[in-house]
Amino acid sequence: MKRFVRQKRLNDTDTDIDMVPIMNMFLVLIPFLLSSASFFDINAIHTSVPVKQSNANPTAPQDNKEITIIPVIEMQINKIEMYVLSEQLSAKDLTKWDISFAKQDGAFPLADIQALLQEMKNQYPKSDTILVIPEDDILYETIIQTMDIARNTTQNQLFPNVVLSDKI
Amino acid sequence: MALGQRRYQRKSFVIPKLQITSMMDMFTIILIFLLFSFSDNPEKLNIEKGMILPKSTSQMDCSKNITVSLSSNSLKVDNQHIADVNQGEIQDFDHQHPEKSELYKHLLTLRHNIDPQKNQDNSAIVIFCDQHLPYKTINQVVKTSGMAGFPNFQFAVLKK
Repeated sequence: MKRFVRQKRLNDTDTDIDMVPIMNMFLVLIPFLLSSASFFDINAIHTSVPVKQSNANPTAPQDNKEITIIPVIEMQINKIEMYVLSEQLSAKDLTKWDISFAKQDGAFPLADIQALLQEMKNQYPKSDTILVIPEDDILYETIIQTMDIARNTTQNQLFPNVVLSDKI
Repeated sequence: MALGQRRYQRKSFVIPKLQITSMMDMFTIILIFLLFSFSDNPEKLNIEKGMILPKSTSQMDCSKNITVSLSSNSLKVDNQHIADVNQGEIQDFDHQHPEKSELYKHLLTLRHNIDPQKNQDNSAIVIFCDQHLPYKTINQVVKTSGMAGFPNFQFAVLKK
């Protein structure tokens, strides 16, 4: 019996898995992956400056769905002025969209502005361009935030073509 | 006697086994993390030291075109120093005549080198700009670029 137990103990020696090849593979893989890893994601906001266009005679469509407008966001130090440009709307219809948003607690009410832009988009769905006119002292970060809310909401696209301009 | 004992002790000496389980665990975690952040298109776009890009919800990729880097102290085009920036003002930049600036001349040279047959999007320049700079500084670059034949831009931003 004792002999049997001793024999069993001898046979029960731990079999070690040779981890050296796995370690070698890890040591090769990790530097490779480290070199190709991107720890920050750089994206881009496509924008442009206004360019001269030939002035074709605009026809006045009857249906709102065919009308295109260009909302303008004028960013000033203490407020944002909003209005709409369109050759297909009357002055009365255009002035309806003249709204000013004052800064609240040191920040622009971007959610309110987005709600208004959404309303414009719902009314004139063919429009896809927006003009952003920042004042000289407006910070780049604020401009990007404004562009973000102008391009899309969490659900749908608003005005994907953002044009950056100076006040004329 | 003592010599015999020492020889006996030396014989019984067993090389200690290296405990690599915890190291394997660590490597496995690092490997998984790196596999998740693996990119087949690693960014070759260099961000100036100390520059903080603004965060945005934009999902569009940044193409590798001509890059203009505007930090709080320097203006570079494709990593080539063009001018110093001091308190938001580009040095040696005439606001009335941007066409006399070094930036305009440099961009114009690059514009001439671009193949006109290429896609229009390839002529868009990528602007890396510090989030704390005022619009007046950016505007100088944007205006000059537009004059040099680059009316389309991509503002580089960090993914939110």
